[in-house]
Amino acid sequence: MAALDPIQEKVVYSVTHTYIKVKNGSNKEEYIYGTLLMLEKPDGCHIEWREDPTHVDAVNDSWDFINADAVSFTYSNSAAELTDITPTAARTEGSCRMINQQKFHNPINFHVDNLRSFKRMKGKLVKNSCIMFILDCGTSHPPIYFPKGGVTDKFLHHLGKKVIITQSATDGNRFLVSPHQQEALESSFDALNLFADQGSALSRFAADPVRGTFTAFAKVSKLLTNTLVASEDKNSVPPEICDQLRISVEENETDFSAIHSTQPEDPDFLFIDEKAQLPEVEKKPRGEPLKRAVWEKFFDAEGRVTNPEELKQIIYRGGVSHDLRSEVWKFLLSFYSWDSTTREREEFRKTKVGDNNERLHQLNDILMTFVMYDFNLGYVQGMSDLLSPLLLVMENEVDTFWCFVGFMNLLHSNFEMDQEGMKLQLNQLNQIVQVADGQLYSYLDDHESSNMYFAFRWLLIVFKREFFMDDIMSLWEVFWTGLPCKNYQLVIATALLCQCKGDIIENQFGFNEILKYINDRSGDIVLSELLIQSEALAEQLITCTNLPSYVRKIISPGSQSSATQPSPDRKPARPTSSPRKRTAES
Amino acid sequence: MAARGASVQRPNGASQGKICQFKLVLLGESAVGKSSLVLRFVKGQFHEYQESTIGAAFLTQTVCLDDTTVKFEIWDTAGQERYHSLAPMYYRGAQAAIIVYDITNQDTFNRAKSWVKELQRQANPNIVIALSGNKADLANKRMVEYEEAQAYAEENGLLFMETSAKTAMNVNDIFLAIAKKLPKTDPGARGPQQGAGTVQVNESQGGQKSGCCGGK
Repeated sequence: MAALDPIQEKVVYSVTHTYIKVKNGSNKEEYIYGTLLMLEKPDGCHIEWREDPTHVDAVNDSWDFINADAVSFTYSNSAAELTDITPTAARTEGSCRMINQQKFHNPINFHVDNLRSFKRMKGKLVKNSCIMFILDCGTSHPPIYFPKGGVTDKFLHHLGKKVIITQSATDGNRFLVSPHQQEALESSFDALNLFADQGSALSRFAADPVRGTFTAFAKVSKLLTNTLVASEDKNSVPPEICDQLRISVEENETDFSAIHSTQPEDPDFLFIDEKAQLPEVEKKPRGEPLKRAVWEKFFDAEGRVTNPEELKQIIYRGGVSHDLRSEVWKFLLSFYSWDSTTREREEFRKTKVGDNNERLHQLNDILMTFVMYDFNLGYVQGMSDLLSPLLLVMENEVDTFWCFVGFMNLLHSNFEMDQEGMKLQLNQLNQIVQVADGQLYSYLDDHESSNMYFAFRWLLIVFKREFFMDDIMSLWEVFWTGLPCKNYQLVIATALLCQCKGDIIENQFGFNEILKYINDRSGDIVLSELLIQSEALAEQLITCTNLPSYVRKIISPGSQSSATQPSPDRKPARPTSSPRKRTAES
Repeated sequence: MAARGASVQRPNGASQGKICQFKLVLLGESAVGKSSLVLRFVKGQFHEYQESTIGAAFLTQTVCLDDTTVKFEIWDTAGQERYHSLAPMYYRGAQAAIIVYDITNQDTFNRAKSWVKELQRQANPNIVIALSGNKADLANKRMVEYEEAQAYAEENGLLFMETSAKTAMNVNDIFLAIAKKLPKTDPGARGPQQGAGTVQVNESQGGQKSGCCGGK
């Protein structure tokens, strides 16, 4: 990293020994230490985070990590030419080359005027206090952690001199930022002529922007919003101020009546009346992963799994211990049927090895074999994402291949040419979000995002790119159990979107920024928290008495599912396997 | 760095002219290097094994052209044919497009031509289209002749450059050429958005650009 240039920049404030988290070679977390700086430059104030190269364990390449998903691959109809297949699995004896991808974490360096908001996080989820910056273009930088604690307050104090900081009314840890343009602000208030007798409020606002002003601000926001909504001429008010005020009102549901009465015919607010009432449910902590001692108790004398439903329930609640995965996944992915005996499985596996080993060996590649195996589907971008965790867990290519086939059977419709499966899923997500959070839905709808395109990546590869390797394995195990309802991935997506709600709405993101923000969540999602919320949301939906029938259909077993049903006509022949019932998976 | 007066850099705080914002979309067959071009342009980086784009990615980068600051809102799309139906949503309203092919693969050039036709038929009629023959560093495996592509570009009124995201050859230049060609008075060009002093800034130092917007 470049040293400070004393002529170009002056350090206003700095915090050393902070760190950020990045993915390392095994797609696991690694800390990089560095310094958070506030710099005065010729064009204004910048915030920067710079790696400290002298800091311990972070060897030269600590900014780099190997991308476990870096499978670059070209397949054309005319010539099935495989240019590169690069799973980073530990077991790649001869058949796959290891290629390390170097990836850099995005530099944190921005002008304070581009800062839209920031979040402070403390408490049970985060060991050390941290700060996350969100920019007006939708970029959300990785959280910067302060192991020494408390430094953030000083930093914020300095930041408060550069920009106006207002605490969110709904989330005490979120702070909205607006540029210090005192004159513009005052003149706009003057134009509104609302503060004629409230000069003291404005001066308090100007004098102490850091603490508590948003609360005071919110008191007049209702009045302001009524005025703004009623007035056709908004030209005199900067749009960002209008929007900010409107948001602050929208955050408070009771204030909808004010807008409602001003514009009674506005269809955007009708959702309040139509909303299905989701019941309150208790959030349950996650369970323990399935351990070997428990797993072995499930087998009878001949090696049949005695109670697969109970087993799936354990996996759904807590996942699987890593050392058991290569065994358990074969059942979850229908390579083995639950009621097979040990002997049958051995025989079955021999036939599979015999059938396919040669093909695998010759083609040198599992994906390529799949392309040959399921010619209709061919290779589709994203399939390699699904394969890489399987490669890490399975002992050999044949097992990997058949588990991959089982996974693809669940997701077949995601990858089909006409994309109908994905369109259906996005549409179903739309319907679930409407029910789960009308306010969020309304916001998305107002910002060209109710098509849910931002969730395309989530759903296509079941959140693969959003998590570190350990977490995605846990999430997929849960997904493969088929519990607690059909299309659970949509419930997870809804819960995740609800987590993002505050950031999306309070930062006033539009279509572009929402997509960027959602893409940037990768690596920042706390899986256990998400699964706890998803489980609770699923229970709310399942037990809701006035759930619209079209939503009930999405999550109830029995009817056609989008992601978890292979289409029978496209499904490749599997003469010897005996896949378990579809309904159990979906 | 690119030529004098037109470079990817932070505007000098002294005098600020117009700020224009343009939507730019990247189209082309899968694995031709769309994401790599954007990554090179926005972050100054190159990954030998760039992961495939799923859905779409959105990035921004700002360039300075004399007294005008041009902010590109860049939509990087998934190239595979089956995602074609999503493309209109991304090129809708775009003022510029870069259609990318791989000079070592004739099929990708044919695909580029069909993208050109589609944009001419369906996109914003004033869209500025640039054709990028990427992977120019692999000239020894060339399957698409420079002259052929250039002649095609001329016939169709496209900007044309051979580029290499790997070596950075012509990457900034193709974006700058688009910036120059875009009408700065176009009604689609919005701005200034936040008033003076709040320009989107990016700086370039020693080859490593640090953009405000680049994901992580």
